[in-house]
Amino acid sequence: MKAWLLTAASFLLFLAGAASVPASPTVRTFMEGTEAFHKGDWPAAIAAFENLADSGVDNGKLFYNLGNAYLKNDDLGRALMWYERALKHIPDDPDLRFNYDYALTMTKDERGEKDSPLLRILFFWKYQLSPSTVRWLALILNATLWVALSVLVVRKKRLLRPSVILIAAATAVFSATAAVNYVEAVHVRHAIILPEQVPVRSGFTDTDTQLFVLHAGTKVRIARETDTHLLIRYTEDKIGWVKKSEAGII
Amino acid sequence: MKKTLTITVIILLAAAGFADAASVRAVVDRNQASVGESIALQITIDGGEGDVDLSGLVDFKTLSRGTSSSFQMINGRTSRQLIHNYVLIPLTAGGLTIPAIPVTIDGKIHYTTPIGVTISREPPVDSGQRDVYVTAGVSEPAPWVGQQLVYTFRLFNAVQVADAKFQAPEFNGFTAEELEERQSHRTVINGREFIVTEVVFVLVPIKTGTLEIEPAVLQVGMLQRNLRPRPFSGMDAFFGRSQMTTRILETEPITVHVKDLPPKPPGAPFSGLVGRFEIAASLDKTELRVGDSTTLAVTVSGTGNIMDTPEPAVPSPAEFKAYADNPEAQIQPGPQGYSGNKIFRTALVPVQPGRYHIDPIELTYFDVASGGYRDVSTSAFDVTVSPSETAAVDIDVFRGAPVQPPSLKKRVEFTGRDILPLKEGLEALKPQRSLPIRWFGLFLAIPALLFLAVRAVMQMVQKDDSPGRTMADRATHALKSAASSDLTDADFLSTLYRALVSAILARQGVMGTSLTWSEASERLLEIGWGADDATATARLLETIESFNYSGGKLDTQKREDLLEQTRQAVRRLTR
Repeated sequence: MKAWLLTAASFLLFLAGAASVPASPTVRTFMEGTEAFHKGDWPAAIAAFENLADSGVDNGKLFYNLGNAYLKNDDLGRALMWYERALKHIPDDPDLRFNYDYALTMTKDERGEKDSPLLRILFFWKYQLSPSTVRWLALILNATLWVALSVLVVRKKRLLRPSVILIAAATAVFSATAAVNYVEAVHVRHAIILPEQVPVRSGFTDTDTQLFVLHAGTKVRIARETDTHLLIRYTEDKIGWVKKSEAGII
Repeated sequence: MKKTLTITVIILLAAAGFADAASVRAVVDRNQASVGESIALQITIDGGEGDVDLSGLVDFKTLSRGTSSSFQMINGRTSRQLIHNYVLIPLTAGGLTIPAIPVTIDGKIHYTTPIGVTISREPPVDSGQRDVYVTAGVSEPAPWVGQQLVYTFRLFNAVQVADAKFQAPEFNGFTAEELEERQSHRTVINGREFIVTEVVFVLVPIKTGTLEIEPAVLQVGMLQRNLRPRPFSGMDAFFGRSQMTTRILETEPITVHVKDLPPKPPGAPFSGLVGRFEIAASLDKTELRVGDSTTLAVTVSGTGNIMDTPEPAVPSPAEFKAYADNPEAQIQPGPQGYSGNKIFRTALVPVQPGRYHIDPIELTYFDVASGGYRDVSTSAFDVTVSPSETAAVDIDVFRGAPVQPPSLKKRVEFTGRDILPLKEGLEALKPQRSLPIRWFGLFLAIPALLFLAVRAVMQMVQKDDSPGRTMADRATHALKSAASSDLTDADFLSTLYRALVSAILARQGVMGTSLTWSEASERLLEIGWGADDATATARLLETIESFNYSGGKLDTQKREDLLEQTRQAVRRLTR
């Protein structure tokens, strides 16, 4: 009975302690953002979530929330930019996929650069699996390969050899794919067109020839970057300069 | 005198310095034009490079035509001239001013001299006095939502044009498809012949209310004969050649009032078709036997969104099996919009004899001409089914074509669209950094390193049980035993023999227990020994054997001698 009383008292003290701990400023800002979102105050929600992102919180779910807030605020370009950033962290999140696909239906421009269908078939695993999944598969297969080789050395079982060759091939494929993904992440950069309509010009000034027009939410590849402008590639034959303020780098 | 010379040199140097200072100037090719007509503007920078700011030209649309540069050498001094070329399109009529244009050279702003130009209004479109003009119009300014209308852009040109660049409107609130063929014909307006080029779009409004179709823009180059010399025309002015001038032509915006469809009166369900349609049906056989098939073809034809025609519900009797085929559509966009027909074929197979009635198939569409819903229907059919000759109780129908039975399942469509909610868990605040590449490389390397460690340990721990190793161990062991002083002569000699034979066989990597001296010699030659060494070692083996079989007693010296010779041979062989 005494033991039971002591346990109950400890539990109550724990609860009291937990209740009195103040929320950190980060948590408070996050709660303010979600509260503003529920009240329909999209600008306030955006400000709160962006404040967290600017303070260094690098989280796909936070970026997803920012995408939602911008989409509700009728800012399609920034919504898709944050959804794209979120996809880098949580590519398999079903909510994110749903909202991202929904936002894509609102864009005006056709999708620009597309991967070759042949490449998508030949290297299907690269396109079907997220970089994180490829990375972990490479590590797991690699560990399995060396364990199998160790067994082969210790037990000298020739029967294991075909399996080891298969595992080695799979390890090589996934490790190479992971390496390509790393290289792409560093060297292949994309941006999203932010304003409703952006003229893409042949040079830096407003008097340079307008080559074509892109609309909010269109994804482009960054070919070059200066202090003020980005040289963007929409398709193989459509390249031009836009101001940095008009495109959000993913 | 010296002082005068010094002052003269200073003045000359200062003058040279001023001569190097940059200057800018602006010139136009004409100062009289009409709205939409182009004016060529050149901004010349002498002695440097600069940034031209045209933001002050609010009354003109500006197009860059590139830059050119030239070097001049006068009296041994070189100077560079940079020319910026622009095309100005006046936006309004009246006396306009090209203001002083700022040009920033090396951080210092220089201004050009303002230029006054007189812009006259263009004569009315139908006066026939314009050389080139454009118009746009729609076939129906107040359509119903879903009703197709035709947008026609027309270019009228009485003079030759080139390099036409057409920018269609956005058509916000409509779905738009351009007709592939652009038509051209000639027409006479007020006694003047024009070539008319038409660009036609079929539009379908997708929302109600007042929608505005933005102006279509056409940029054309016009070949005009130079009547007076222009500053940029060079020798062309002298010979009176033609010159290309750029013009930007815009149509007027068009306002379209899209009406919502009225409520559907009770009755057959609305098919979603808006336009003018007819429905017809045909049955290829009305007298057939049980198990035979007859095809019911329902054809919907007309003008409007015929591509959206839903599959009609075929009221076949319960004694018939129905197999729907894929619909066949022949739809063309034309000057009147989309028109054509869509044919739905259904194979009907009776399973019971008798006389049957197939009711008319009904279609309800919105008739844009009358502004109301209209019901159309096919004719009814009477079918006589006689018993099958095979008198099968249950008819199985086999068809060559892969026909699927009509599915009762419907594709689920969105009834509303919205995004999924926020992620409110505090895990949204945890950093999610992806695995850095150096850690990835390290994790890849760790199992390989562990494997190498395991292998090294195994090599150290595991005993080599190959024949060569076994025989070498046996030779070494026998040699150690032979060194023991408590062995009898016979045992001593047998042990030496075993040590030497084992060492030779170990070198060859084979198992065995005995060798003759000739075999020993051959094998030593095989492993690369010299003939003398091989013979000497074979003789040692023979000596050991002969002592062993002769049964003679060995003195200590002889034992030591044989042991030493054998030891050296074994060491050499097992090294």
